[in-house]
Amino acid sequence: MIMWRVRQIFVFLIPFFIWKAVLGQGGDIYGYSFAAIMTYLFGTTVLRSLVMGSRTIDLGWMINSGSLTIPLMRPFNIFSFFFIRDLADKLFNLSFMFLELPLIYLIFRPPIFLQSNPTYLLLAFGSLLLAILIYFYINIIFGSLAFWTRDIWAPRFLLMVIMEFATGAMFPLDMLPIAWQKIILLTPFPYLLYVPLKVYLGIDPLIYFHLAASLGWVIVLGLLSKLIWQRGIKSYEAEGR
Amino acid sequence: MKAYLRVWLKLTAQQFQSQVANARGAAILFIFSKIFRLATAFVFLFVIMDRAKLLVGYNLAQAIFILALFNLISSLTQLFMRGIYLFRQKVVDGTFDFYLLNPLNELFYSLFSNTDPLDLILFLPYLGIVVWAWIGTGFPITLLSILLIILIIVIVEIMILSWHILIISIGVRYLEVDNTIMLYRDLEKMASMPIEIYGKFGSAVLTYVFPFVLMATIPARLVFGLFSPWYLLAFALLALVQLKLSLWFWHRSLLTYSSASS
Repeated sequence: MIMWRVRQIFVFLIPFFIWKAVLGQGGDIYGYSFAAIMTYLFGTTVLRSLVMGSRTIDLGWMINSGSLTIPLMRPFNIFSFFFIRDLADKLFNLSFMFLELPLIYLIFRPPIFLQSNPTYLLLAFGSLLLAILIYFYINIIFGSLAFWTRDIWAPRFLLMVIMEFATGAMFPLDMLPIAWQKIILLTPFPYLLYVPLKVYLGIDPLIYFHLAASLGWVIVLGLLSKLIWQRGIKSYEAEGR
Repeated sequence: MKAYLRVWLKLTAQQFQSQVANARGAAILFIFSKIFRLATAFVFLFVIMDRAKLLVGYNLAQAIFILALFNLISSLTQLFMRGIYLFRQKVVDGTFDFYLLNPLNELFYSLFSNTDPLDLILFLPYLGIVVWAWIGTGFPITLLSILLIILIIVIVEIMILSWHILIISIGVRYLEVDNTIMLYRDLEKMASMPIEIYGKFGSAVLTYVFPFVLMATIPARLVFGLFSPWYLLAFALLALVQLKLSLWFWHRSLLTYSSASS
């Protein structure tokens, strides 16, 4: 448990030192000063725990091992069950963050921008909720692949690699050429970290458009996950039970 | 030694057959994912250095060479020691008992029995990327540089073997391996960038405590003519001391093993 949480601090290390080497002496890159980029990195660390803390990632294992049978027999909606488990996991992460965030702050002393505009705060909260739902449905879709194949680790690994880049976890996506940004914004991934953070910072010129796009992805992925689930559940054989 | 090689080849061939028979599609996705991940790391460097021009004194081509070297050497070490990811389970379910009874060394089975064939396949493209990045730096590829880099890889392998032995020793004692190895990987990943970015203290830690500096920055500095190869003797000595200490800790840990599960 301790090792797992220490890793959360380590995730912050490499980007912190790279940006310190580049921007620590002052100046800016792509309009980001050291303070702005640190706020962004600090924000991604917080958002990762909240958005990407999930128990639904073990859905594939549940299908393959047959342990999905037990929740299926219970008298409640299976998606609600998965979502509540996800929320519990996020709450668990949140409890650790109260300790870790001050620790990261004390160790690295990153210059942080605290948003005080209530409109931006409200919109950022809305964007965060949509991000949670998008990630939840992505996990349902990828986990459901286990209805048809046992080798779900490779698609999940690919998803993880793509998300590391396309969510903006490595660096703000507006540092990329415009054409790349446009392509990535057509996928659901930037709405997980990049867009909520830009909304929080109040520097997203297309705030409402991006929030609408987030909502659009929630609806599309929600419908798609239900469709895939309904098809997949017909081929579920409770193997191993 | 011959027996170990024969067993390792047999085990690796079995892994390869299993991969080909059961998960060809997954293998292609995995290889693509690994190359895509490396590409995104290059993009990150391009993005930063398009504006910054220099990263702690290294230009873009040099920083890319360091990253490519790290990627090659890291995957080379991981290739042989994949067994560590399954070690905890083997202690928990009692499989480790059979390793202890086996005529071959239990460390061999614990660490080297799960060589991933996909890593083997990736070795060639990774090597190609290193050569491409090396040419990009403008420094000549000489036989002496290649031999010295091979020597560094041998030292790194000893050093990383020591750390892996230490981690599975902790696993024997406390049944904690998975998070420790991931934490170790996070630390190792710091070597993917020139270690000068971590400041004097960070560089010293990564040079003398966890000598991950050998994984990329030092071989790169050697190619750039900024490092005297004689210092490698000191690193070789350090690696041997680490190996000796880790073996000592391993044997101490084995004394606490109670085979609780079997």
